[in-house]
Order: sequence, then structure tokens, then C-alpha cells
Amino acid sequence: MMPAQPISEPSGRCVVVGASMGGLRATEAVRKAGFTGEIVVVGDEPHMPYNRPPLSKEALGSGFDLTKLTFQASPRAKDVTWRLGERVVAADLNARTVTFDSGDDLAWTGLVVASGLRPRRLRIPGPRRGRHVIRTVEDVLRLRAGLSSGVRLVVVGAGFIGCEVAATARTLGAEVDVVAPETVPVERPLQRMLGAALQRRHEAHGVRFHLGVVPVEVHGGERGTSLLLSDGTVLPADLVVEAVGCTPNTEWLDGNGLDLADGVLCDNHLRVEGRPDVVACGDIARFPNPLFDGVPRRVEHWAMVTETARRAGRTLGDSLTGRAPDTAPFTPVPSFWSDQYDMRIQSFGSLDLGAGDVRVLEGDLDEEVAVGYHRDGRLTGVVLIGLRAQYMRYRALITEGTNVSVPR
Amino acid sequence: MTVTPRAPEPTDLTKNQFRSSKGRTIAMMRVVVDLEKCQDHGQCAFSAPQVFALDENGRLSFRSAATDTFVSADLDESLRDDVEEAAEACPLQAIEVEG
Repeated sequence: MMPAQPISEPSGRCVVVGASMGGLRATEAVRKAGFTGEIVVVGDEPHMPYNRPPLSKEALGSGFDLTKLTFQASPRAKDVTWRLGERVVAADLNARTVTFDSGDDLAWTGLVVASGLRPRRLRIPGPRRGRHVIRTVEDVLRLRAGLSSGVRLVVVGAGFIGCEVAATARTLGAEVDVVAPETVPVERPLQRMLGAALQRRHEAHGVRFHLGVVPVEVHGGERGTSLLLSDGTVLPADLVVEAVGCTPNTEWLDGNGLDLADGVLCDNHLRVEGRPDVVACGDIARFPNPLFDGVPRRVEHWAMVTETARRAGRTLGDSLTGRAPDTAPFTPVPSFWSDQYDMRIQSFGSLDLGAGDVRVLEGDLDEEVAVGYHRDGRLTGVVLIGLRAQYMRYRALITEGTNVSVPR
Repeated sequence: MTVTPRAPEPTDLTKNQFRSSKGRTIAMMRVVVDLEKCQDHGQCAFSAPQVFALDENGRLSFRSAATDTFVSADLDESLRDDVEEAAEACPLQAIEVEG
């Protein structure tokens, strides 16, 4: 067996698998940490990294210029090789290689796992025509070509993406039905009280909900498509949007003995199971956040992508340049927003951890409101509808109210 | 119209330029905020509270100083990490760091 090679050579090659926001921000962070070797970023979409949140919102309008979504890369990320429209299908973490769909291998000294998620599809019989998902600009181009006033849209899934699509489509004049197995929209993570309030707002805008049921079959005919629900209801549908969650793209890491049960298991510094030369970031990274506890979790929030990418890139950059790692604990404050109609929903902290004790902190559920999520009487998360002047105060309550214990 | 208003309180952002140890003048850093893109998410105010703030209505405070584009005064280099983080954290990608 060869002696372990130090990975402190200034040269070397960093391969970033995933060319979306996480891959971009990790690349910038690896450079910022002083790595001067080659960086190769691989992405299966034919585009430079672009911003996805508008895809379920204003970008569904035909007038929206999708080219505006492309990120401005920092000057640091200019000296980077982008291999776009290519797919990494395998990796050998011991041999330090990745394999492309073309069969080519590429060796690396550092690897960033930023391969993100893909939408789940409904597994029900019937034709696929008219059935859409929303993840990429191509998805949006296909969907919005058919989305206009009077079109009958069925949204399957009542999470944030489903609700945003429903709101946007109503605003564009479509007839909208939402189908989901939960009892209220966005039951997780908002829980029933706030989910019910959200449902009332959507219904006031004319959205019809079919809750506690699932679609069981698609009927396709000459007069259009319809969806058969588990309670026997038949919903005519010119378009169906499947917004039923996502699956982590981890298959290319199979065979390395990693825990890939739910994304990629990382330590608090985003190293994949403690390896110095492999980090993960974004939606796919399952890491402990000592802001709350030591349990590794995946977080699918837009803001967490950048937070994890900066930290992962720094961790890897320090390792590649032979510097001691930053031992400060990584304690990002979870935060997400959703825009529906003229309503901004903003959350800070963890709603899941406080799901058993949900209270209105101020305001009115049907107007502007702050809802708190508590564990052992302490605030772990908050959701605000409106109350925009209170963002700083509530976010501070989350960061101050939780007990930061520091694992090293 | 692009205006360059006075730097916001409370931090002193009015230092102009500084000289490196070799005596070269170093171009200073500024932030440019596209106020038409901005939707007042406030993420910048969490990342770089010395530079960005929300007003009592929850709107970006720079809105009182400009309508379409806000250009800050020169910022001290010590703020670079924070303003770069703010630019990355902006959901609308409305912040550019120049210099």
C-alpha cells in the first residue's frame, strides 16, 4: 500500500459535481480559501448556474425573461472549467476519480458533492402528456407554453412549490385544483393551524382543494386529460403539475460505502463522513446543526445552499492548501420564504423541532401574523406572514433563544 | 437616475481610500443595489448589518436615498466578507460588489 499522499500541493484538481447555485458558491469558496489548482465544475443542465426560486412564481408568466436568472459569478470563479450538459455517473472515492456518462474518467484531489435534487414523479397509470414538474428552465418553458387564462390546471402536491404554482396560475387566470393527501396545505412544516389559514387565503382567490386524497390514474382522451382521485372524483385537467417533493441525486456515489439513506451524510464542517478531500453542500448535504442539536438533517431551503457551499468550499480549500481547518462550529440559521399572491411568508429557525407546540405570537391568522414553534417552551422557529418590519426581531429571538452546544 | 447618497449610519463608511504597505492606492469597494430587483427580503441586513438595514416598514433603508439604483460610498475592506455574503444571500441577486 502506498503511503498516504499529503493533499497540500498547491496544484491538484478540484472537481465539483453539480453546476447549480451550490456548485458555483462552493467553487468561489474553494478559490477564496487559496486553492490555485484546476477546478472543473460538471453539470447535466446545458446552462451556467441560475436562480431557481422564480421558476414556481413569476417566471411562469410568459413575459418573464428567463435569461435574467443566470448568476453573476464572482471574479474568483472565472478561472474554472465548466463541463455543462455532461453527467457524472460514478465516483471512486479511494481512487479519487469520477466517471462521466461518456465513459471518461477524471482524477481529482478534492471533490465537491453538489448534485442536488430531482423532482419525484407520480407513479400512476395513464399517459404522460400534459404532466409537468418544475425544477429547470426547460420545465418552465414547457409548462408556461400551455398556461393561460381559462386553462384547467391540477396541481398535485400542496407543499410550498405546489402552493406557489397554484397562486401564480390563479393570478394568470387559470382554473386551479390542488390535490394532496394531507389535511391542510403545507401541513409540514407549517402544521395545521397555519396550513388551514393558508388554505383559506387560497380559497378566497378561487383555488379548490381536494385534501386527504391522492390521484390514482390519468385518463387521456381526445377531449383532454382528466385525473381520477382516490375518492372517485374525476378532475378535468388541461395541465397537471406534479409537485410531490424531490429525490437526492446520490446514485453516482453508490459503491463507496457511504450512508446515502437521505442525501449525503456529512460532519458539521460538511466533510462527507469525515473525509478531508470530499465535501457536500446544498439540498443534498445531511449535516448536524449545533444551533439545535447533533442530529444530521437535510435542509431544502434556498438560503442554506449558499451557507453550506461557503462552508464546504472553505473546508475543502483549507484541506487542499494544507491549512488547518476552521474549527468554529457551523450553526446556520434556517430561513425560507414563499411568495403567494401579495403575501410574503417568511420563516426563521426550525419549525419541525417545535411542531408540537404552535402558537400565534402576534397578529391575526387571516391578516398579518407571527406564529411560533416551540420545544420545551423555547422558541425553535417562527413563521411570519407580513409583519416585515419584525424580521430582525424574530430572527434574533431564534438565534438567542436556542442553546448552542458545540461539538468539535 | 443613479444617485450616490451619503453613507448610512451608524458605521463610518466615508473613508475614501487607503494605501497598502507598498504605497499603492487600492481601489475601494462599493455595493450597488438594484432597487427594482430588490424585494426587501432583508437577508443582506442579516449578513452585513453594518451596511444594510431594513427601515421601520421592513423596506431596505436605501430606498429613501435612491429610486432605481443605490451606490454606496466606499466601504472599508474589512467589510468585504460580509458584503460578499450579503450579495450571495440576496434572493433576487440585486446586490453587486464592485472593487
